[in-house]
Amino acid sequence: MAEDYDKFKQAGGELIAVSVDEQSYAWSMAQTTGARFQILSDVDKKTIAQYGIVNAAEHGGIAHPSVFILDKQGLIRYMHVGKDPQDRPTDEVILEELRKVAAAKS
Amino acid sequence: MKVFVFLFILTLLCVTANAQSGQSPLAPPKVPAASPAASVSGTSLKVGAKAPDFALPNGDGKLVVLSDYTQRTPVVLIFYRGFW
Repeated sequence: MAEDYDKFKQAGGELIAVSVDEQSYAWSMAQTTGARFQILSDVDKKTIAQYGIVNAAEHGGIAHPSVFILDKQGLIRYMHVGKDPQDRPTDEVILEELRKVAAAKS
Repeated sequence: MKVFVFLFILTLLCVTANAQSGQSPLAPPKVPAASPAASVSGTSLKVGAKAPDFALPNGDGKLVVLSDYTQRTPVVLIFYRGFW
């Protein structure tokens, strides 16, 4: 994901990643991956609850692996809520959807 | 004397064990309070809906507000499992 960051930028979007990890994990994640995008901590799970993607069955509630593409009005233009870690769109699919959103007059 | 001490400890162990099991005799596993609203994959969001805004800290402890980004640029928002 980190190495594809430039592609996301070129496609006209910003990347934000969220998990329920502690901030220290988010920090080390940023360090080890060299990520230049925001990696955020939703420790109290409020945000993933708002998005309705809490996987309560695992580890006392973690996020279903999910992707949302938002336009400049903050509207959802594409979404995918994964059932398991394997169930997620490829970077190519996300980039394609992002280009569509970025190209749309809004 | 040794036997007495041993029995005493044994009794103590039994008492604590009873106390513990008494608390949860076949009690269902505790479900986190957040779960009723969102069971497995129960999102009510859909394409065209407004994405809930949020402010969350990044690794440096700085609060990042989603709408600060979406005002400027399209955003790819990724939720991942984390280090589990």
